[in-house]
Amino acid sequence: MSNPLHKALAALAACMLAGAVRAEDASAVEFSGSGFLSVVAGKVLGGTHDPATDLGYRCPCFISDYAQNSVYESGRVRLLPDSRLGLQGTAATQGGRYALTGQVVSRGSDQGRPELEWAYATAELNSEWTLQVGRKRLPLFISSEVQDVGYALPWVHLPPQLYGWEIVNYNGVNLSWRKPLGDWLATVNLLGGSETARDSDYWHIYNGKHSRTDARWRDIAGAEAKVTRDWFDLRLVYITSLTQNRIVSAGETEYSSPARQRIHGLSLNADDGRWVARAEFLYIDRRTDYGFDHAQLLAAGYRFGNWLPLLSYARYRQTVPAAPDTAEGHDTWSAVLRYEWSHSSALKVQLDWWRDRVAPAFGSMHGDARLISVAYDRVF
Amino acid sequence: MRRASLLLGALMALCAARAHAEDVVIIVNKANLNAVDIEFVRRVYTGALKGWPDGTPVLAFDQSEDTESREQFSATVLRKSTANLKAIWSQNIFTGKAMPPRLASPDLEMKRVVAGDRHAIGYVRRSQLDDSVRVIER
Repeated sequence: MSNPLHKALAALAACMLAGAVRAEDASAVEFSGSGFLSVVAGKVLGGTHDPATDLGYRCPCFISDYAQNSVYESGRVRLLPDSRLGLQGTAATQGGRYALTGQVVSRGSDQGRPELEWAYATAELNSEWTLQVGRKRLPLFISSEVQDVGYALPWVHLPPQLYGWEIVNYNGVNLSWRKPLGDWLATVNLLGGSETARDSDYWHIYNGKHSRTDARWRDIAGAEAKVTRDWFDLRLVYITSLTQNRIVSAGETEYSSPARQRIHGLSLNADDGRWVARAEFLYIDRRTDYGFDHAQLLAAGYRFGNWLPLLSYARYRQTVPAAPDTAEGHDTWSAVLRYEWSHSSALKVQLDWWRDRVAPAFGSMHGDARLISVAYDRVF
Repeated sequence: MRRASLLLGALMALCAARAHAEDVVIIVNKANLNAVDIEFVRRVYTGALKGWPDGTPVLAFDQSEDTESREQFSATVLRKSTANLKAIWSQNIFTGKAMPPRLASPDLEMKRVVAGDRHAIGYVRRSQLDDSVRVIER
């Protein structure tokens, strides 16, 4: 909270709730709690690894979540990379019109250390407009905001080709609007803020398991628009920011020069109760830094009672016009089987095949990998 | 043959129970004159809508998960499985998009809270309906 913006946001959030509570009897504040748990065991079944590349990971290895440095290393069954526990508390008044929410997540990938990942105030301005101030998940993708809630997803872990970026949370403000338009429901969300990730988990994967890199996104501004019709929704997102980083473990004390990035996303999602289908497309313009990123996801599944088998393909490619031989690229095929264990818990098994498609000069990085993972997800 | 008869009997009893699963009706406060349809109800109970057409807030009430009314409401009105709804509400709750409906169970309690609040919406089995509330026709 050393950043003046963070202090201002905290003060604004406190004012919003204080005003709401003052307007009502303090006894009218309602408290509620919820949580989510994912216990995930995974084992690398095989793959490739170039001994010349040593980033400190025992490879062949499978990266399941870049943002959390969740890497399944070869050898024994691993429980830590994707297992997590989240607890959320909300204090609301006037039937939820004003609320303060905090979410603490303890991750195996972070040795179980609890982190306050969400902390925000909500004001329902009217039935169409909602204002939120504080710390939230950056809605880069359609499932970004529920990436940690395994029960809400068909996958054990989301395809890392899309769902992996250096910054996933932000401190700021978002204003959302929703309105029925005939048979459709339209929602628009405008957001702005900033984020600094000290000792970024993401950069361990590129700079070394024991490295330390700080990443900073300033002047984040964006908009997402979604139209929903019963079982189908279409979402567009645009987010821009200035990006900077510094490799502290390499002795860098100053951040790199700010580079503008423009993130564009399109997603289509269908779930009619039986068929489940999703397509997501990402294009990032970072031409002032290195070039462009392209990622795609296609998934389809069919529910048989309590069972949901699902197949997905995700692809990531980087374009580096100045040095094409240094571009990163990889694909993952995933086969998932989900079983509804109860109204609030599910069992899943997932098989992943990761193929490295990096350009020659990029280095072999982590190579190809095959992973089997089993998960027990529940919400409470 | 005796085993086959027993199996047939059990199947018939199951079918009879299904056939007699009682219809649920959607209820609102009698002073609430908003004209809404079934799509509005679905959006409210999936957290997508929070206000009545006149701009006032919707106060949605649900019955306990283990009740026949809840099961019927989910299957026939919302047309979603309980697990599917749980996944939708997990998203709403953990992303701060919406608060879940409050619980008012059984039918008698549901009628009492809806009759007492002009912003309320709920549902009861048709046999429990009386003139203390207004029905939204499907």
